[in-house]
Amino acid sequence: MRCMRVCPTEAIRIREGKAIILEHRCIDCGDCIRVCPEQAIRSVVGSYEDLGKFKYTVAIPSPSLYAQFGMGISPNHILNGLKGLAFNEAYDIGRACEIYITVLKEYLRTYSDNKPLISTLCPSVVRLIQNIFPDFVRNLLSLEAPRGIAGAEVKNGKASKLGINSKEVGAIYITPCPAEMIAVNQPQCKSESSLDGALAISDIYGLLISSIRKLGPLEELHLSSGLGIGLAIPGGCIMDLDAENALAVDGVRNIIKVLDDLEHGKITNIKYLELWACPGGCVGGPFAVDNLYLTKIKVIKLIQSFGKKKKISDEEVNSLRAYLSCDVELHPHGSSTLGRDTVDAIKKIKQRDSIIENLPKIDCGACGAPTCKAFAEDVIQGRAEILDCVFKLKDKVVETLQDGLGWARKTPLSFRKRT
Amino acid sequence: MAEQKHNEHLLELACPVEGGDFIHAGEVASKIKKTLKEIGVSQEVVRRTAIATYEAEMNVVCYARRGKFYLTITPDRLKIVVQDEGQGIEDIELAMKEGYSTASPQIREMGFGAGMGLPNIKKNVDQLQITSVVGEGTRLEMDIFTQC
Repeated sequence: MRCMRVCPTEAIRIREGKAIILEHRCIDCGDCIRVCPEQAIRSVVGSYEDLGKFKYTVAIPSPSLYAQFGMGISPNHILNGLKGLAFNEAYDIGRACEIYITVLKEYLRTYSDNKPLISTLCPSVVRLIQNIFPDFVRNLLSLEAPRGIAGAEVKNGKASKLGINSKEVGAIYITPCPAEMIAVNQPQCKSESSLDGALAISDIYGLLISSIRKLGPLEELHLSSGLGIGLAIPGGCIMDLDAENALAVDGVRNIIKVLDDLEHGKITNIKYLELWACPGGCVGGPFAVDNLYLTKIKVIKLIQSFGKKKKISDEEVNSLRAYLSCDVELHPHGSSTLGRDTVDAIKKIKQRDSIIENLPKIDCGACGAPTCKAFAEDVIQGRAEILDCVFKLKDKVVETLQDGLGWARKTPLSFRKRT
Repeated sequence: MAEQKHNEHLLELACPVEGGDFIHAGEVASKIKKTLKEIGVSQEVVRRTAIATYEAEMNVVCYARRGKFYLTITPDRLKIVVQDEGQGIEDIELAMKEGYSTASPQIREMGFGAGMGLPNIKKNVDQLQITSVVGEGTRLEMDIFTQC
């Protein structure tokens, strides 16, 4: 039941004790995963054991992984630790972040529109906008995320260099985010994903700590600057973008409020909007392990230690340019509409509103819907019947009993007094 | 039969607004916008209606004691009537000039009162009628066509 109540888009219904997710409303934010006491909801994109099916695997960490394990463990420790697990190689995500920030700055320089450019790093936010704010789909940034850039760099020519089939190379993303895990198999802006699998940080956290503890002399695997590691926290990179009035917002309900204000014309002169579904940003993701406030401090310290001067060369950026833009156009999903057409929708709205009038409006949840309004919608869309509401059922029982009493009191014709 | 068909499209919504209530300011605009999205009205119409209703709602909050929004949806248009009880508008033509504002210092401090409210409404609706009685209140009638 907790999942049903916490879902910011009312996408969950409970049937026979199990959570059912209404796909057209779900934005993959993972709030349900966070609160389930039985861990009954999972995003399934592969396990550590699946790595065996590849001949050569490369671990690609999310920047949030660099923020885990406390101040004493550097990104270099983490990359070496990953190599000590079942991975042949560990990719320094700092590189891909530098590339991303460099190209994003170029996009911002040439962007002109009275509505801001909206970041697409958070796949959950992209779905939110496609479903609920379709008018802003055209403002979504069409640029591949660092995880995809990393995958492309890793796979580029790797298979032929090793003399194996490209399908035998596995670029595995390590992430705090269920939405990113889903995006590995179902990329939003690319027809094909450059990544082959994903692991939750929480799934390999313990293994990684052991591996780090056993490390001997370290290889220099972390060669990038701190530019771009700030993507792990909301607004972490905003200062470096040279965008007038960039705004960072975290938390789905806060994002909905800001986008509402943007639709009303209340927010003006903002050039760039960074939106993160998870409160605290990616370090606050459902599969991140360390305390999100401590990891935020670590991110800030990492940026200070490694500086913001990018190490990557212009040639390296240009060699990947072909991969950076998106080949799939994002479209609105039209899931807000209640009916086949205007007439049908208005009819359904009126039916729904008259049903709500007669409901107790206490959002008790016994019907398996988070609110009485959601239940009314379930009824008009055929997902439930009016008597599935316990209170309407009680009323019906009382009505039936009263009818019964009326019938019981009816005198047979032969007994009735002559009038 | 024609009348019946007319009623099939009809949807009416009435929402009150409290003057000076900056916390809830914008909720009526959001409610109307949500309803329009549920109906499946075009994005362009949703956008224009959202801006016009928001500006009208802010005007009630900034300048009136209270007001009421009436939304009527018919086959060819949305009609939004805002009737408020408040100070009214002395010179409507002047109020329609961009940059002209009668906002108090408090309102300006909050970032409102730039003098663009009524001009913005006019820009986003297809028909606008404003009537006002000083000391009593103002009535806005906005029409937005939904068919090309």
